[in-house]
Amino acid sequence: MDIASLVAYRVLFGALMAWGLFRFWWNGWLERSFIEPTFFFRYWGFEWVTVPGPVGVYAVFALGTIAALMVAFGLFYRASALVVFLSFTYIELMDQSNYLNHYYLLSILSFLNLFLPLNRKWSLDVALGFVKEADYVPAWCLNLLRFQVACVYFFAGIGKIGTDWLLHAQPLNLWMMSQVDVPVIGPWLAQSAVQYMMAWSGFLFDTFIWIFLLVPTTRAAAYGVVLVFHFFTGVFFPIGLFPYIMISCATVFFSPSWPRRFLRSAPAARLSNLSVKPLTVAAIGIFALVQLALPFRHFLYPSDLLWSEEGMRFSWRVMVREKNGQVTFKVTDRDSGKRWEISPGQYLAQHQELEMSGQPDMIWQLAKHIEKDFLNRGRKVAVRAEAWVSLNGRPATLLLDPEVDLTQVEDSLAPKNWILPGPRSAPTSLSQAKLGNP
Amino acid sequence: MKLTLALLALVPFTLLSCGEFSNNAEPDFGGVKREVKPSGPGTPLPPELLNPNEGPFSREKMLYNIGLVLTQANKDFYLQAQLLSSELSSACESGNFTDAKDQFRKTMLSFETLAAAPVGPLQDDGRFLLDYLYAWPFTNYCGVDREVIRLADTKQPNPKVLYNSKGLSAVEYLLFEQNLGSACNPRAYPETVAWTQKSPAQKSKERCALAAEFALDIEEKAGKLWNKWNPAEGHFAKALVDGSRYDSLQMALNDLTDHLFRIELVKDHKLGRALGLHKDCLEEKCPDQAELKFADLSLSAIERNLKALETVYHGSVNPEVKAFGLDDYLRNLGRSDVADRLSSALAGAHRAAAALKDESYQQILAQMDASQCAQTTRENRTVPVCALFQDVRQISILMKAELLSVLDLRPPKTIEGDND
Repeated sequence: MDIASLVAYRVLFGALMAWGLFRFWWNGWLERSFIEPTFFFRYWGFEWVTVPGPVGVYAVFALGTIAALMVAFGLFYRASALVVFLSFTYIELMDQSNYLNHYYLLSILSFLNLFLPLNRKWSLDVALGFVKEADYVPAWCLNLLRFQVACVYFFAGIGKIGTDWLLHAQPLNLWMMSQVDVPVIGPWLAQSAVQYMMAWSGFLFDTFIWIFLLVPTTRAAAYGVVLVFHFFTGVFFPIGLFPYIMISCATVFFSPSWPRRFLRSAPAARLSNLSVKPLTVAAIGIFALVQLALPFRHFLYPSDLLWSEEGMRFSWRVMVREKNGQVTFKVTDRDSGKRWEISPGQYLAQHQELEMSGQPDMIWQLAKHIEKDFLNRGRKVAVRAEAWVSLNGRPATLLLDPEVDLTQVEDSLAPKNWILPGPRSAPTSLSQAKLGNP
Repeated sequence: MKLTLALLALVPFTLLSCGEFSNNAEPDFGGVKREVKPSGPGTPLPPELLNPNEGPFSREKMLYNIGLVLTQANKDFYLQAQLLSSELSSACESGNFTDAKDQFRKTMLSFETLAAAPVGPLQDDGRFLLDYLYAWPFTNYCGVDREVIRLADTKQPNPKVLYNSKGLSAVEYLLFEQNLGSACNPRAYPETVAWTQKSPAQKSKERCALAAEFALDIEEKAGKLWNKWNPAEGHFAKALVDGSRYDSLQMALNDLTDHLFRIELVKDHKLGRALGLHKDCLEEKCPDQAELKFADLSLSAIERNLKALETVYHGSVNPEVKAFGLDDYLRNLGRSDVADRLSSALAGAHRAAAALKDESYQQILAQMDASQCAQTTRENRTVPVCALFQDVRQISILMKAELLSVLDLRPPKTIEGDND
């Protein structure tokens, strides 16, 4: 298969990654996320990851940014790709409260890049003679990326199958009603018909767009839809790099030679031996199975996914819930009986508190941290959490059993029986009242 | 075709990236424009805002009306600050502090109204005016004592006093602290030893001199603040809606409501710390950590905070008066249920605070049984001040869980721009 489109992907990926890391520093998020907080949430199985001091944090970001630019230019590609993968994944693992689906996607793509010979054409490695130029790569290289991008769209689509999204247009209704100021189209966004149309078109787009991108006859039109869809989601929602990433990644569905049209470059004669080794087939098979299984793991849990979040991460359920909560940790001294009522804000930064408030495993982590903090000050305590959570605009209800001492609970992948059942009522839609325009 | 597609692909990139590097660079502005266009009397007010509480509801009218309510509060604070300065000047000459103390209480409570919703100028430039006017709970009383000595020695005002050694909390300490010793460790600051050996009358005189000096500074800052709200000058109420400061009404609303979360300060610091419910109080209770403990004005201050929050919520000091506030917004969105729950929670908390406002928090704390406090709930109100804590917590629950969701609000200091 022609390497050309993979090279275009390499340049776009490297540039986006560098931009993404740079804007963290530029916007002051680096300090806010990794330097100012005094407590960090860990991922299950990665509790050993620690956050370095300020110098270390700056160094990791600087290293990742430089390496991403080197990937874009194809300089010392393998080493640069490794540094990008390690630095970005490390950044992601530092604090679970920063989890985003598109950060996870970037981590996976940077992992896949390690195995793809993306520097074999139009790269400094070729120009400097570090690697031999090649016009063709095995087909699995491109197909693996296509599979990954298709997974994101497909699972984002089927993640929207549910009454809240399809029958009540929630949480879109909540989000659109706050956008009535947008010039020209703002008032339309308050119309429930428009909200339902957006909900259904979002569902259909995510679920099926990758098929239309794969078929040559529908590809151009489908990419036009991709551009329009991501442009509007980028305008209306604070989703940062996500639109850019998907617009770039969708190019992997194009004809493998598409960049040559612009560069007026023809590929050399096809290489003779591009067969796939059995080990490669096995590795790709395992990777694909994991990617297909992870988003479905929530079926192993009896609870409602949007409420309990069991199986939520790494499942590409993008923007399917508006969840806000207020948590009070009720701490009791095991010896004296003295009680405290502690707000998360006494330990967390604002963005961490916002993320934690609706996520039981994070609430548990802070409860364990509070236990440790009191133990360090000579008090053995029990910690219970009273967590009031509103899902998609419903009245706030208790998320966890307030009687359960979270210090006595061990974290595992097993269903958490201390999570209370989610609300059964349908969400209330906001009405189309006159809200005024600027 | 391919070229057209490539050019099309560049369009969203270019358009989406507009503003990427202009947003959030100044966290203190939290989602508002960095370059503030001039507003004020120069630009005309839209006709529908001339009587903002008449006709059908709109977010613009609501925000402007709330702005006008806060304008009045800022005006009152400036007037009180002027009177404080004048009273302190007289008190230092006469040696009679009764009127000055009385005026301090009025000024402080007027400030507590602003502090409940410190949107806009009070927060600008890295919270400059807010911190310089009132540094509690970060007041450095030793720093204040050292300023007393420095002023007595040099007779010259010190323009470099740190924010946490001046302002209203410093004046409270200087006027009301009965112990004429020093808050400083004598080994670290030996100059304070000599000062403590002065006569009580001399020490009171020197403290008053510094309080008067600080009152002048408070008056000046209150004046600056008022200039920014004054309809004839900065007219901040108009800036809330005219696009000169915020990109959209949603951003203005976001900024306004974000500052209402100062209710957390009331819950955790003003009530929780002293009641022994905060993590930093390992004792049964910590009366020493109460706000305004020298003037014993803590409960009145909390009552003012809650009244101010209720006023902003209803858009009027009197909830019965027809004025556009957040409650009307919720009702117009079809969420009267949320509006009613919040109205009821705010009214309940304010009622509880009003019943306590004339009592001495220090006395209540001294007599309070901490274990009974822990058993107190909103329903079982054994210890009223602990029930007040639970009332305020209920407001926090409704605001954080429901108001944020229904109005699609975002605290500005979160990592905006990346949220899927």
